Order: sequence, then C-alpha cells, then structure tokens
Amino acid sequence: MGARDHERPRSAAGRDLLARRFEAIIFDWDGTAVPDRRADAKTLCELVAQASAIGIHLAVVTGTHVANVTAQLQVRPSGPGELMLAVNRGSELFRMTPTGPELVARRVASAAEDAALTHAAQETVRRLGARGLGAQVVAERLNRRKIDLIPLPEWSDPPKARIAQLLEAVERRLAAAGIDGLQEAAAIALEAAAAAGLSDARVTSDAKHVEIGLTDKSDSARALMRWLWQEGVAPGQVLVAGDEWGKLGGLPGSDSLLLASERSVAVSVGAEPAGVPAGVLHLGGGPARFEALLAEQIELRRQGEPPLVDPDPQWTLTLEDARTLLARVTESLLCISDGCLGTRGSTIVPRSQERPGVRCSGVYRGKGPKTHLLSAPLWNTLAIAQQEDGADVVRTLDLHSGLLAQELRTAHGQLRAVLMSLRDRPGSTLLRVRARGLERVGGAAALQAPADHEQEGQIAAGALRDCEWMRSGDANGSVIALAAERVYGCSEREWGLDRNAAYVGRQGELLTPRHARRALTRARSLGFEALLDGHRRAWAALWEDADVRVIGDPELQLAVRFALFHLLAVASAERESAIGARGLSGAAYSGHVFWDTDVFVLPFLAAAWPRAARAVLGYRVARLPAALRAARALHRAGARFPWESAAGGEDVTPTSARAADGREVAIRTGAQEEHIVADVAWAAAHYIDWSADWRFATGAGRELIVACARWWASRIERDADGRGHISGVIGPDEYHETVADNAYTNVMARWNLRRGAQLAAGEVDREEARSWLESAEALVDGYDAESGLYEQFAGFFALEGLVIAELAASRPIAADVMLGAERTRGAQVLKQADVLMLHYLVPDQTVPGSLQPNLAFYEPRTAHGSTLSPGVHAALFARARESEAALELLRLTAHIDLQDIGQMTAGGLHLAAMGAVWRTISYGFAGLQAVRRGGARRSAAGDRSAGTLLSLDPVAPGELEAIELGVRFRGARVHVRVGQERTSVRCDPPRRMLLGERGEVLVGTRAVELPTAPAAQRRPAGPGGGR
Amino acid sequence: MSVLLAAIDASPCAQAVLAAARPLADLFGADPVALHVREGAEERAQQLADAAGVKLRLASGSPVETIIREGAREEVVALALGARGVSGGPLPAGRTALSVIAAVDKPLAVIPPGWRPIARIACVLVPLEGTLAGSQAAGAIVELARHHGACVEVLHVHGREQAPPFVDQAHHAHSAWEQEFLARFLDLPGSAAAVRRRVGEVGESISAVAGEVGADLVVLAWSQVLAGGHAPVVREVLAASAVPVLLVPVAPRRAPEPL
Repeated sequence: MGARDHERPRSAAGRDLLARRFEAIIFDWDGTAVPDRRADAKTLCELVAQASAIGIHLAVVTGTHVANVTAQLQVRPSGPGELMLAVNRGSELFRMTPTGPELVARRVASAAEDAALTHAAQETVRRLGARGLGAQVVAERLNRRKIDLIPLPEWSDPPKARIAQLLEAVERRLAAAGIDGLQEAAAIALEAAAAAGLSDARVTSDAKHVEIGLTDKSDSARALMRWLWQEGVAPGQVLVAGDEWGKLGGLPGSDSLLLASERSVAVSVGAEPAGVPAGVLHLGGGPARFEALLAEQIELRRQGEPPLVDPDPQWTLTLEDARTLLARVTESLLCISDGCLGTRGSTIVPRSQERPGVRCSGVYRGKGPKTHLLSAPLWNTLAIAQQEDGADVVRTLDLHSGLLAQELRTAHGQLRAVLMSLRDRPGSTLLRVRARGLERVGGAAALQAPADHEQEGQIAAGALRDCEWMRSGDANGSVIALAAERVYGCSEREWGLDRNAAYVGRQGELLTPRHARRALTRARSLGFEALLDGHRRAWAALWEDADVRVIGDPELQLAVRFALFHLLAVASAERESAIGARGLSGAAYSGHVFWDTDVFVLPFLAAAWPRAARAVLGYRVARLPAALRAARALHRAGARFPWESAAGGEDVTPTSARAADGREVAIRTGAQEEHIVADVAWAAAHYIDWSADWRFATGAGRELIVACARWWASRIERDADGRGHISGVIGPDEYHETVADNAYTNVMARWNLRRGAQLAAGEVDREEARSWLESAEALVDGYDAESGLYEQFAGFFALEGLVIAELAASRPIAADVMLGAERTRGAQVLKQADVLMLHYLVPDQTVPGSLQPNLAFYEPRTAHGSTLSPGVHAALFARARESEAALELLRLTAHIDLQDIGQMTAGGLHLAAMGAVWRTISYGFAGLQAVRRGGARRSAAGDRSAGTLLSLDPVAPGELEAIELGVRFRGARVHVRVGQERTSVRCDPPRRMLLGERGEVLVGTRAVELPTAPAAQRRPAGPGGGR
Repeated sequence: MSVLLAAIDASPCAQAVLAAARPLADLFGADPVALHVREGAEERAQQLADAAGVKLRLASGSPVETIIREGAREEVVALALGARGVSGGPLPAGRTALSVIAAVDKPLAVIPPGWRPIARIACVLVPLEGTLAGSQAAGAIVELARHHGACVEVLHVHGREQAPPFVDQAHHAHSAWEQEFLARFLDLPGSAAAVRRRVGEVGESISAVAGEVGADLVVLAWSQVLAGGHAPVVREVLAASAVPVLLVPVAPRRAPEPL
C-alpha cells in the first residue's frame, strides 16, 4: 500500500472539520504561508494582524532564522492573539511584540555538541564522496549543519514549486553513486552523527539538502503546544498547517514533525505528490489556500462563533442529561466559579427540574442558624420561544480552561453556548450563544430573579442607558448585577449574542448599580476574545501549580482533576475567602463555613495557590474579634471559633433538627465540637510551614494561633493528680456527644498550646507561655502503651464492641440511621476518623508506630458515614503502605459527587472530600509534609530559616503506574513522580529536602531519585466489610 | 361517565367498601357503582347498596374473573374491594382480593373491615420508595388528591440496611436530602409538600404514620407481582392498615432507578 492510499479524500467531512473555530494555528512558513522567501506577504500580514486582534494565536514554524521570517512577516500584532516564531528548525522560539521579535527560548549547544555537528557533517560529505557523490557542507546554522546533495548552479535556489523536479534530479545523482535515494543519504548522515557522539541527532531533508541537527520541527511543535497549553488552549483546538506532510524520497515530510498531538487538526496546502499521511486533510492550493483558511477563521469569529471545547476525556466532564432525575446533580457538578461568584451549571434554557443558582462568596442573609448565602440574580439563562423540557442537552465542562459549553437540540433547531465565570476578573461573567432555528423571546431580560427570590428580600431591577441591573438582598447584605448584551443577528431564527455581567456583593450594604459599573464597562471594552483569552490563561496558570497526574487509571485521573478544579474554582486570592462546605455550588449547608475549609481545603491551596490559602485564613483572622467575644461570653480566655460560621463569625449552628426517623433531636455540635478552635490554629500553622509567609507568621497568624492556645489553656481542668482534662466535647466522630478527654481534641489542644508557646516567645508573657507548655504536658491523651491504642474518649473501650464492618452489608453507611441513635451512642461505632485524625493532621504529635494499631482497630469500627471519612482513611492506608485499600477509598472519595454517592450532590459539592483526594495523593502516597529539623516540639512558626523542610516518603501507588504532582513549598516549585519502585523529585530553586532514608538532600532542577516503599500485603477484609 | 367500581359480597366487609366508595369516587371525579357477583346473596347486596346510596350492578361468573372483567370496562377508572377482615398471616388481604389486585391494571383500593363512612378524603399518605416508576404512578393520584383539596403527606421509610451512605451534619443533610427526594420523586409545581422519614420496617412504619397524620387513604405504587418487588410491603400494609390502601400499578419490569 503506497502513501497515497492513506490520503484522506477532499470530502464533505473534511470541509466540516474546518468549518469550526480554532483557537490557534501553527503553520509552516515556506510553501505554506508564503510561496518562497521573496514573495510579497502583504495579504498574509494583514490577515495575521486581523487574526491576532480577534484572538487567534498564531505560530510560524520554520527551519530558517528569525530575520528571514520577519523580513516578510512585517507585522506587530497587538493581540489578544499572540504571534510566535519557532525558528531555526526547533532551536529558537520568539514572541512577536510591538517592538519586534523577543527571544523566549533558545537551545544552546555545548562546545562539544557544536564540534560534533561539524565533524558529523564533514564525515557525511566524506562518506558520500567515497561513494562517488559530490556534496558540500554549505551552512553552519544554529545547532545544525546543512549538506548540499546537489551543489549545481541550476539547482542553487530551487523554488518550492519545483520540488518534484528537484527530487528527481537529486535521486538521479544519488542513484548514479549507488546510493539508494534520500533515505540512504539520511542514514549515512545519521551514522556519521552517531559516530561523532551525537546519540540523538535529528537528520532531515528538503530534497536538496541533508541536515544534521540537535533539534527539528518536532521540538518547535512541542514547545508551541506547551506554550498554547499555558495560554489555556488545548491540542484539539489547534489547526496545524503545512505543505510537506507526505514522504519525500522515502523520508517523512518535514511538516509531519509538526503534529505534536493527534487531537489537533492537520491540513496540507502543498502539492503532496506522494500523498499525505492518515489523519492529515489534504487541501492543496498552496499559500493562497492557507490565507483563505485564515480568513475563514477570522470571519467565524466576527460572526460570533463560540469556542469549541477539546473533548479530552482526561480534562473534560461531558454530561448528556437524559436522566432528568439527575438534573440538579448535574447543575452542581458543572458549577463554574471565579472564587467570588459561583454559578450552577444549569441548562441555559432551564428545565423545570433544575435549580439555577448564582451565589456571591461571603454575602449572607438571615440570622443565627437560618443564615444562608444570598441568592443572586441569574445571568446564565435564556428564554427561547420553543422552550422544551424534552430538548437534548449536552454540557461539557473544560476543567483546564474553566469553560462550560452547552449544546441544546430540539425539534426546531439548535443552540450552542459557552459560559465563563472570569477567573482573572472575579465577579464578571461572560456568555456567548449561537442559535439556529430557535427564536429568542422578544424583550427577554439578561438578568433573571433567583427562583427563591421571595425568601431573598427585595428584588430590585431596572435599566440604564446601555445595560440592565438587578439586585437581591437589602441593607443587611446585597448583591448587585449589571448585564449588557451584544446581539449578532442574521435573522430571528439565526442569531447570536454575547452577554457580559458584572457582580458585586457586600455584607451590610445596599449596593447600587454604580458599584458594578466599572467592572462591566471595562469588560465590555475588552470584548469577548480578550476576556476569553485572559480567563483561560488564568486557569491554565493555576493548573501549572495544581495538576496531579494519575497514570494508569484514566477514570480516576478525571475524577482527581474534577476535584482539583472545584477546589481552585471556589478559591480566591482576595483579602478574605469564605469557603462554605459546599462552596458556591448549591444551597445545602447554607454556605456555612466548617472545619472542612481549614483542615481539608486549605492544605491543597497552601501547596497549589498560597495566596488563596492566605485568603482562607483571612476569613478567620477577620472573625477573630467575634471568636474572642464568644470565649469571653463563656468566661474563658482566648478565642472560641464557632463550629459553623458565616458573615459575622458568630456561631450559626442550628440547635435542633429532625432526624431521619422523623424525631426532633438536639444538635450539640455548636456547643461542643470545639476542636474547631485547634483546627483553625492548625490551618494557620500549616500555611506558615508551607508558605514561609513571614508577615503572616509574625502578625495575624501568630495572633490567631496564640488566641486559640489561650482558649485551651483556660479550658483545661486539672484533677487531683494534676492531670489535665477537657470534658463536655464532641470529637470528629459525632456519634458520641458530651464526652470527656476526646483524644483528638486533647492532642490538638496540646499541639496548639505548644505551638502557641513557641510562637509567643518574646511576645507573650513568659510565664503564660510556660504555663501553656505545662498544661500541654498535663493533658491526658488516652494512649495505652501496651495495646498501642489511643482511647477515643474516656470510656470508649467500655462501650458495646460492635464492628460495623462486620455488621453492615456495605460501607459507607449512616450507622446512626441503621442502628438508631441510641444504640450507636452506646457502641464502638464511629462516623468518621477521630483518633486517626491525629495521624492525618499532626502525626508528629502521636506516638511513633501508633498508626498501624489504631488504623487496624478503628477503621473496621468506622461507618464512613461522613463524606470526610473515606478520604482520611485513604491517606492513612497509604501511609500504612496498604496501597490497595488506599486506592479503593481514594476512588470512592473522588466519586462522591461524580456518582452522587451520598445522594446529596444536588445541594452542592463536597469540597472537603475533594481536598481529601488531593491529600491522599500528596500526603498518603507521596508522603509530602513539612517537617522541622529537631522535631516538632522545637517547632517555631514564623521560622524563616531553613529549619522547615519538605519531607518526601513515597509509597507505591497500588495498581497505578505512577502519580505525579507539583507543589509550591516556601517559594520553590517541587515536582514529584512516585512510581512503583522509584520516585523522582525536582525543585526550583534548589532546596534541601528530607528524602526518606536518604535523609537531607539538596534537590534542584535535575531530578533526584529515591526508592519507593513497596505496598504491604492487604489485611483480609472482615465479612460484610466491603465498601 | 367515569365509574369507581366497588366490589362487594355479602360479608360485613361490604359495608366498609361501600362506605369508602363515594369519597373515593369523588377523588377520581367518578360515580360509585357497586358490583356484586351473584352467589345467592343478591338481596343483601342490594340492601347494602341502597343503604349506602350506591347503584348496584349484578354480574355472574367466578368472583375473581368477573371483577377483573367488569373492572376492565372503559368507564371504570378505579376499583375498590374489601380486605375481608383477615388480619395477618400470609394472605391477609384474602384470596379474592389478592387475585384481583394482581390482575387489574387500574388503581384499586383495598378497604379494611370496619372502615367508617367519611364525607371526603381529606388526607392522603403517599409512601415513596424512591423509584421513578413508583413515583410516576403515585404522582398521578397525588395530583388528583391536590385537585380534590386533600392534604398530601409524603413518607419515605429507610430500611435498616438501606440507610443513606452519608449524613455529614444531620441538621443540614436531612433537609437537603428531603428536598432532593421530593424534587426527584414528587416534583409538583407550587407544592410545599415535605417528606416524612422513618427508619425501620416499611409496612409497620406506613401504618403507624397513617395513624399519626390521620390519613384517610394510603397510596401505594406497586408492580403487581406478589412474589417479588415490594409485594411483602404491600402485604404488610394491607394487613396492618386501618385505612383504605389505594394500590396503583406501575409499568411492569421497569428497572428501578435508585435515588
């Protein structure tokens, strides 16, 4: 079968492939963009300028040097689309700026490489000569040497159009020398390069020459795809154009190296006498056809064509909503947010089953337990005349670019839409719609009142000269939204629109349209393409630090990225960030802030986006006065943070509720679950350890930790023997209330006192700090050296010895529902990790070697009836080297929302479980944690010396091939790959790290390897213990 | 004219059936018609029907086949028959009743013995197990009840082994779960209905809640297969219920859709 047999026909399907919008075009220069290097490129320049202005990223790939390109391409595009020049056959990358090309990257050959190239070229000429072929080294270019196979005057500078004749002439010469075509000539060059010591030399040919180089167009292609990825452009959104894809003299065409990803669309405008490889669309037509392609793309954008999402299964979540039962679950899953504003991923033409919702972070309504996040006006709905619940809707959430695409089809027509909550412009949103066959309801407003507006106070709305506005709430707190539309109208039934909206929300203020005016005006002046560009670049930048690769399980990979996406989406680098248990994705849990944020969400942010972690702590810092007042009201010192917190920082935990059996029950978490105080302190200390934020460590952070320590100091009661106790509390296992000496609470309090005492040195009365240390030492923790177990609370071991893993048909299960609250209270049944939370948060405060016995004892007694539980145990199983169990629970945790396992996702996403997904990978498998030289007891927050190190203690990730993640640690970027047997780590800039048994090692940009600890044999599961 | 067909014999149960026939017929917007299969007690049946003010239709043949045949007539929108007073054991609803309810594809009310006349059905208890098919079947009756002005109480019973997997914070989780349950399985526009929940044996719980809320009617969707599905629940409810139980057939062999 010859090359031509692979050629794709110039079919209607091929044309359809191009009748779509691309976000970037990578193209060969000579023969594709211009006929030759002397040709007038005026038309091309105009098109490039227009394309850039309308947001298309362009990249030239060529073997020649930059001056040769810019001599023809005399254009300085102003963007938002960028123009890149990948020149010198993969060795240089330039960005075109208003002042000219600016070098981005250059492959610099070592002197040895340069000498080897020269030697290889000379040796090639010698070997060809020995065969009877006169050839010459004609050029010494950057990182390559060019050998002319036909140094004859008549072929001194053949145009591209004569490529067939040139090839024929060269092959005649080669045949006369007994050389079997270009292939053998290239093989001779490759052998010569190898002999010269170039093991990875790139040998290419344009028919006239054979080139030996260190780089080729594939390096350009990879660099450009990497650049585009950082711009938020995925491979499937890229058009790659060349003119030499087919074989040339038996060698792959030079442009065949341009395709770095099979997800991109490849076209050839060349003559392609040998046909094109499979997957390349042969258009022909030369540079004129390429110009036409460019013009078509420009026109598509001018007509308001929405961008397409690259449906990469590892980066996109596509939901075809046939099962309307899951309509509200789907809305939660597809929520988009910029950290300040969250919008449920409702169908743009909402169905009756849906609950569209927009919420503004930190803006609450109501008082006490009824405090809830205020519902804001809707910007993401459309009214069409043919509104039908039966429409087919496909929604795709692009996790990498934060873009929600929708396609709606009815019997009458179709509608495509993209929605963004602009990541780089918190509070601003963008919608583009393109409809065919569907008529928009005349006069429909761009903003709609929320469905529950009757409970949300007065809804006010009006119109200004060029936009409309709507406000929900009142003087206690309000959200104002402004929206403006631009309509592209071909006809009533074929139309498009761009809708910009800007939101501002504030507690304790009745906002007016002027508050959002500037944001809307600015966004509108930039236009759709610039806003899209900024948004996806901002998302891409977040992923650069946050991504986790799960190699060997594509389904888990997507689930992990899904979790990370929502953790990033809900976070903000604003001054303070109130992240509720369900973020901004739903009404459940009323937007109340729990320990979920401090303990489960913050560690991810501290490692992936430190400014956002600081904002989370900013929320607590701003509510420290309320916590101080709460402590005073209880006649105690320090700060008593509330179990559930909202706007003001007072406790908003309900005090009663109906249980699953219909009975009214008292809710005591607000009064008793006071470990939240230590959890808040832990979050502050964790952030300090990971960020080395000296200002926070010596300012607000220290104040927070010290105030929490004071609470514990005043809370501890001494018995006659001088031992310290804390009574009347609820631990993380909420099945048992009003207990004494809950191990988790006591050990966390002890940790808080010690950390507070160390921080307070010089700031707090020395006597007070000393008393804290004494109290810490006096606190009982329930540890029994003989069994190696911590008793969860005083008297726990005397309770009925139920093993829920043996009793329940499956876990997770709400054991209090299954067994009844009374029996559960009297039994050794846990809702979630309690003692084990110590090993999860403060392992250095637990007795060495105590993880295994406590995991073996407590896990089978844990119902996992909280969504927080499986993830914590996943991490701890990994720490205990029980990788199989860890992976099983990790998969469960990662799918809690994706599979609606708790049947609660309709009300919003479980952010804490998502945080636990990340921690299972980072702490569980990779064993990453901040440690201090000299041990925890000598720890000193605010220590900006090198005393705090990142420790790596990897465990084989079960059946996964490997996991990879990046973290930011004290200003350095750390990249870790945990494989089955080996783990590698890089760090930029270099830092000393603790690498398992290797101890302290300086790790730099060159990977350092260490062994991965093998997984242990799994303990046999008890009967009925399956999950 | 739509008809609610009330099958009666000459047993004491017939009075209860006739007592329920008119309010049930009102619920369906139908006229009550009593059906008696000739077995030598026609006079007694006529007396009972006359006393209840219900028109009597006489028919011949085997009771089960005749009720099924008459019930299949187009004008019949629902049926009622007596539970015969068997209060427990494997066939609590009586052989005839069980044979009929397994064969009739229309709503069928089983009236407990001793049911006293009421002016109207004011309160309907709708236990929902959380399947789309079941809720669709029951939903049609709920709409009728709301149209009729009756109060609708929704119940879901968690069997001990069917406890939800997660209850993070009970005070938030239960209300969120209940809202979603209603939205999925009884999404009635303008309805402010709440769902009651119980934990334990389903049949017992339904009967107990029916008493608590003062229900005049329990609406149960079921698959009409006595050997499987939630037939044991149906049997238990029929055995224990002190109020009429309206059995609403769902399309057979539909895969259940879990919540």
